[in-house]
Amino acid sequence: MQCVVTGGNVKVLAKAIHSLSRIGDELYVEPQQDGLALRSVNSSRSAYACFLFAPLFFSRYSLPNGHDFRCKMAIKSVQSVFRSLATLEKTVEKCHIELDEQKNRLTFTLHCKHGLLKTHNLSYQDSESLQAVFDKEGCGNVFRAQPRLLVDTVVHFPPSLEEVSTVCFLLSERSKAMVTELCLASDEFDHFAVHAHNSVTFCLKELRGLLVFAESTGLPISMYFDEPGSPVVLSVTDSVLEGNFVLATLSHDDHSFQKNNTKGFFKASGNLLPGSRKPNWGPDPKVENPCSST
Amino acid sequence: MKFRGKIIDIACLNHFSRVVTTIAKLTKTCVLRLTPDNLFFVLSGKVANGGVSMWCELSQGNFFDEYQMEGVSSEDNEICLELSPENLSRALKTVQNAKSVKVKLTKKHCPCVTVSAELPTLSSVSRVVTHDVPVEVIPRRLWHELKEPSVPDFHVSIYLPPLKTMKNVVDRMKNLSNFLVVEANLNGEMNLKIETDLVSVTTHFKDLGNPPWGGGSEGGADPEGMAEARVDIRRLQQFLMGQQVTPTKAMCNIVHQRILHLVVLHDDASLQYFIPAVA
Repeated sequence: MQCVVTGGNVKVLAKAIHSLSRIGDELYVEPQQDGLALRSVNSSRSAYACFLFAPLFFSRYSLPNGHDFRCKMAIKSVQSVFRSLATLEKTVEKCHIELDEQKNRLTFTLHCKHGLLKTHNLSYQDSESLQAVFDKEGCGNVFRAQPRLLVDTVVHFPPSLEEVSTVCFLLSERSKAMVTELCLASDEFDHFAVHAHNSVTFCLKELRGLLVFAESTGLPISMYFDEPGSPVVLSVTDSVLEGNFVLATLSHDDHSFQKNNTKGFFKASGNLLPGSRKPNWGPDPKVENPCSST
Repeated sequence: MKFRGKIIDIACLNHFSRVVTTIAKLTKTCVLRLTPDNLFFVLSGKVANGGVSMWCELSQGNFFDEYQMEGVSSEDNEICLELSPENLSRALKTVQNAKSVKVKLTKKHCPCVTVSAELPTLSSVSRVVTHDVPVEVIPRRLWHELKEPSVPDFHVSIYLPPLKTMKNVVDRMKNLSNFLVVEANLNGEMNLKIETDLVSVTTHFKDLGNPPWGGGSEGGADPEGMAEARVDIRRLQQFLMGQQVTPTKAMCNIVHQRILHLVVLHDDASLQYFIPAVA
C-alpha cells in the first residue's frame, strides 16, 4: 500500500487524525477501493467516527497487493507524526505512507523543505473491520449548518461538559445542576428538515472533535437524527473526503450514558414543519449500539 | 421573594461580569445578598474557608437599568442566595455581546438565578440563551453571619503598590515558601518577606503613601514602626490574581499579627478581603 499526500492535504489529514483522537485511543486503518478509511471508536462503543479519503485526495494511491488489509494502531503515535499543525503547514511538502507487512509497520515519511526527511515507523496490530451500521437517509430529521454556527453554540458550554442536544441546545450538568439552553432559529441553518418534535441527547465531547475539523476546513456539518436511542450522525463532505461521526443517544429510559462521562446533557429538539409527514423508517434505522463488528 | 434585573448598557454588563469573575477567582461559593439599593457578594470567615472573609458591595444603579426586588418580608426586604460565582461568571461571559441581559430569580428544578439574553445573529431571529445557575436560599436565621464586617482597629493603613507588581513578587515568592509576611508603617513603607531555612527574601516598597485616617490604635504611634501579618501566601495570591482592572484605590490595613485587611475601590464597586494572620 502506498499513499502520497501533498500540499494542503497533509494538514487536512492531520486534522482528521486529531479529530479521531477525541473519540478513541486507537486508529483503525483500512485501505479500500473507494479510498483510505480511518476510523475510531470509544471504549464503550457509544461513539464512532470515520473519515474516508477518496483516491483523488492523494497524489498517489495504491492498495496492498491482492488482499484486504486492515490494522489498528495507537492513535497517539500517529498524532505524534502530525504534531504541530502550524509547522506542518509551513514545512511539509509531502507525506508518504507505506505499508511494510513483513515488519508489521506503517512508515510515515514527511518530506519537508530543504530536503529534510522525517521518517516514522509505526507498528500496527491486525484488527477486525470496524464498521458502524447507520442509515443517514432513513433519519427523520436533518439539518446542515456552517461549522461556525455550531462552534459559536458550543462555546456557551464549559469545556468540561459532556453531553449536547441540538437545535434547542439544552445543557445540564448533573453534579452542579447548572442548565444552559440556547435556541437556534431554523433560518440560521443552511438546510433544516425536522419532522417531529424530537429530543435527542448525546455526548458533547465527541462532537467537539468534529467541530474543530469542520471549522478548519470550512465544511458545513450535516446532522441526522431520529428518536432518542437512535444514533445521531454528523457528517462533513466534500469531493475528496467524507467524515461521519456516529454518536449514541440516550433512549427514554436511560438516565446516564456511562458512570464516568455523564456530566452534561445536550438535548435536541426540533419543531414540526408545516406539511411534514412521518419519516420513512427504512429497513433498520433504530440501532441502539451504533457499532458492530462485521 | 422576587428579583428581576435588566442590564442594557454594554459597559455596565462588562463591569458586572468582571466583578463576578473577580469574586469567582476568590472563592468557590459565596452568598449573593440583594437589597433594594445594593448587591453584595459575601463570604463569611469560617474555618472551612481558612478564616478568610470577603465583602463586595455594588450599587445596583451602577449596573442595572431595571431592578425590582421583593425580599423575604417587608421588614426583612432582602434576599440571600448561596451560589457558585464561577457558574454566574461563565453565564455572563457568554452574553457579553447581547443587546440586553436579564437576571432573575426563578424556580426550575431548584431555585435558580437565571441569566437570559438575546444574542445577535445574521438571520432574522435572535438566538436566545438562558443559563440557570442553581442557588440555595439562605434562611433569615443565618443572616446575622452576613453582616458587613466592621473595619478592625488596625495599626497601620497604607496604599498598596501597583497590584500587578505586587502579584509578580508574590508569584515568585510562592515558589519558595507557603507563608509571607506583609509589614508596613505609617511612613509609606511596605515590605513583603518570606523566610525559610535556606533563604529569606524581602521586597521593599517605598513612598506608597498612607490614607488620611492614618492608623494606630494608640495615638502618637511611631511612624517608622512596622505592623506585620504573616499570612498564607496562596490567599494573597488568589486575591491578586482576581484583580482584573486597575482599581481607583487599593490599600491594606494591618492589625499587628492578627489580620490583613485588603480594600480595593472601583468607581462602581468595592471589595474587602480579610486574611487572618498565622503564627
